[in-house]
Amino acid sequence: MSKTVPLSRKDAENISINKKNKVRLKINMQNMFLLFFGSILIIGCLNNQNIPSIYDGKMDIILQAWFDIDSLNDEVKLSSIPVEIFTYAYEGCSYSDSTDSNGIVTFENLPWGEYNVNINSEIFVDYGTFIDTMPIISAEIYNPDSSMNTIDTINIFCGGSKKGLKINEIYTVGPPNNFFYFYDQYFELYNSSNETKYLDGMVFCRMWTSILEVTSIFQFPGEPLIGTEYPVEPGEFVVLAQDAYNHKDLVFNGEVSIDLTVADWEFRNSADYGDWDNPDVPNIENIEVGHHLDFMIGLNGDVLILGDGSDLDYLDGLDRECVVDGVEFCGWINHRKDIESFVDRGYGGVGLQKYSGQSLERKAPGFDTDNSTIDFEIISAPTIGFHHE
Amino acid sequence: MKLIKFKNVKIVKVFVIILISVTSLFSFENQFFSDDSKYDIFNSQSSLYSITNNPALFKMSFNENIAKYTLSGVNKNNLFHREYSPEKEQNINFEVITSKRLNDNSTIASIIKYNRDYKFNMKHSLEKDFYGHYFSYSDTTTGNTEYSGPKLQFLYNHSINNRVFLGIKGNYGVEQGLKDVYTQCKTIKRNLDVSFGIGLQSFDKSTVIGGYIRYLDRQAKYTAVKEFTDALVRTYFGYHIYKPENPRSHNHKTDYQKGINYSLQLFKKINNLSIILNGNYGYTTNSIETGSSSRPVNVAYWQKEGGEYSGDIIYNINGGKSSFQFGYVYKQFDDWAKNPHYNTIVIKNEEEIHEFNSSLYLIPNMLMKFSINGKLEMVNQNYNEYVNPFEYNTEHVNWKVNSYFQIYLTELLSCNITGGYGKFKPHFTWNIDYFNEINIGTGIERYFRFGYIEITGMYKSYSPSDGGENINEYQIALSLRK
Repeated sequence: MSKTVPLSRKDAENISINKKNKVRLKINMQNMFLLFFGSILIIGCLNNQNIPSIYDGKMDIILQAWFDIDSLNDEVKLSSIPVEIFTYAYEGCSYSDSTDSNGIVTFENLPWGEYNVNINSEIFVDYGTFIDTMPIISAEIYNPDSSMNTIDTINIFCGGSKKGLKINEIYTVGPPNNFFYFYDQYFELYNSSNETKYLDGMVFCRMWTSILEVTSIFQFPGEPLIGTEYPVEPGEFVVLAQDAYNHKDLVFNGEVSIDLTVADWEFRNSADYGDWDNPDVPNIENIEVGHHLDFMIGLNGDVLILGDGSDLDYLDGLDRECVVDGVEFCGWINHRKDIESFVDRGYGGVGLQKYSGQSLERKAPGFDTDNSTIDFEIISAPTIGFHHE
Repeated sequence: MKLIKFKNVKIVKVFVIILISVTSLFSFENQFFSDDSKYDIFNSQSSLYSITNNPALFKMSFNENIAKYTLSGVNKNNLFHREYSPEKEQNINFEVITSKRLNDNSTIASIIKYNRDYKFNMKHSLEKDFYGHYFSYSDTTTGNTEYSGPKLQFLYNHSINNRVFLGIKGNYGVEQGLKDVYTQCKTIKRNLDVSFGIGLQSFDKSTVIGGYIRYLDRQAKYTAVKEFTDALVRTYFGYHIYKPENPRSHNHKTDYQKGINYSLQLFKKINNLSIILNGNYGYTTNSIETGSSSRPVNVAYWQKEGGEYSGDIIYNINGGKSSFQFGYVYKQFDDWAKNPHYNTIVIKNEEEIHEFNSSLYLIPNMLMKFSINGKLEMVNQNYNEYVNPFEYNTEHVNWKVNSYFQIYLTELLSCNITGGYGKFKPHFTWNIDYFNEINIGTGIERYFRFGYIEITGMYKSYSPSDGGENINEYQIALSLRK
């Protein structure tokens, strides 16, 4: 006959502890295995990649330069023309070479990237009775694709593709300073056509991201389209200053900045009581109701449009037909383009730095392919009323 | 008499030495918490854990309760330095290392560390170690940068029936840094590293098979502020060409690193002879983004893959109180980096290292202890940059010998002397053949009722082979061990 032995309190506690330990052990084991399998799941999410088959620094670019001489109805392959290419992808990656007798130039073993191609030279043209030199200029963007060693064509232009009034230079970044001074901004227009143009009633606008959104609009005096009071002769530069005074001497003791008393025009907002007005320089007046600021634009990024003044109803933007010239610029290489492509297919000014004294100017006076990415280049200092070398 | 006996046991089982060469740290260790050799404070002899790093084998190697608190400082004058390395470095470090045996089956250990690093006159680099990264961030100013942050390690080891061992180890660290001049770059780093291990021990405890999986995840963010035109930001592609970043008010760079490694171990003990075979294989992936915070651009991808395989023989003398160890390590790594936009290789690096190491640990009597260890590395490296073509091939030998001697002056007081000499060629140093390294140190340890207090000092000197100025390093540490 079995006899039940009463458990002492200590024994009971021991049994209880053992049971608890077993439960804990199970829980520990479960946790450990959960963690173990969890880790395998995490590891499964990792994905290493296969090594590519193409090495960088091995890209070849072969370009062929063509010159379309309309008057001769012929296309000429240009030999011994210096061609320069550069990329923003890496510092110091610029190369130059000359075309051979077939107009072909080859650049080998380049870092992979998008390249700007530039030609700025002159050629001899035989007119039959005499031979003359002619400046040639071209700018293209070369985009590498999967196929290597492709031949790309550079179309060379003579003095710019489209003639007329152009926004030739944009100086916005301000001089080197540490107190945020940028009031020496100015813009330069250039008449690249063979005929006199008139500024009467034209508008100069700062745009937002579309032609439908005008941020600031200032107008030249005179009657739009028909006025002839303010002519711009062929090959003439016109300087439009934010404030036409001597920023160099009055603010910087002659060390930096520029003298804008030589400007042809000055932006003026009558609603801005603090706006400087040089009595010797004619004004481009603000026409936007409620706008109390001078014509100030982004230091290293913005959109400018020169309009013929036929559309002054700025609330719904500008009509496409009234756009004479438009430029988008931005200092960032990966900037998302703003303005519509019929105004500007690209944007210039990559690398433009605030408060550096740099300026943005067309590669040649009035050179315009409707793509500011290739039309403009950064110059180290502004050139008021003339073009850089 | 009782006290002396008790202390002698302690002398044998627990002592403070940090042996540098015999630990088998896997090179995928990220920079944050790589030094598992810290646990060597439990036993200065080569151990299964110190060689394998398998958390499941921790309690087989260290079975004592211990707590150690250390406050240390380092001052390093880099009179000779690479272009983008600091001219002077200072480091203040507080560290708590603990290990506790919870019961017969479980052991828990931890390291808590707070570190403050100062890098003085560091030219252009916005990285803590410019040469430790292929796509380093830099600017155009020279300044001082301070880094600080806590790092934690936790280890739990559990055995089932004394035959099956499971272990988990986790590292977590956060570090922030700030440069004192523009671009006033702010650095924030986060590191996570988890290992799961398993070990199987035979009935007679003479054989152990182990394995672990390690996952690491690291993220580093850099924010550089623009000040007019004086401080421009750049991202290097290798060490010879860089991409200028867009001038903007804030430039950002983010490094994402993930990695995995697998490891298998075999331990066999035959009488006084122990054999440890250890194999590691793994890879890390790095993705680098730069630009604005709202629209970052993936500028580079970098992958490292390789393995480390080692064999160690340990011969125990005098009942395990003394030992002789000999080991061979084969390491092989391949790095490559690509431009993700065009899928082209921009950097390739191949390294192969044969390492022979040996250590002798002797306790001639109860009052003295002596150890000496040495290693010899045969390094073969082939490094290529392709954007701006650069090739670097090297075949060289690094070697180093360290020794340690400790003597008890009284029952309570001991002193020790360390010394080392070596020759090595650092990574990514093109125009120098090698450095000579000399280190000499001393320490005094005294037993009090509350534990052991030790003060140590060390001087290190690195002299370049071209006769340039030396790099001098001074270390001082105060520790309490219980």
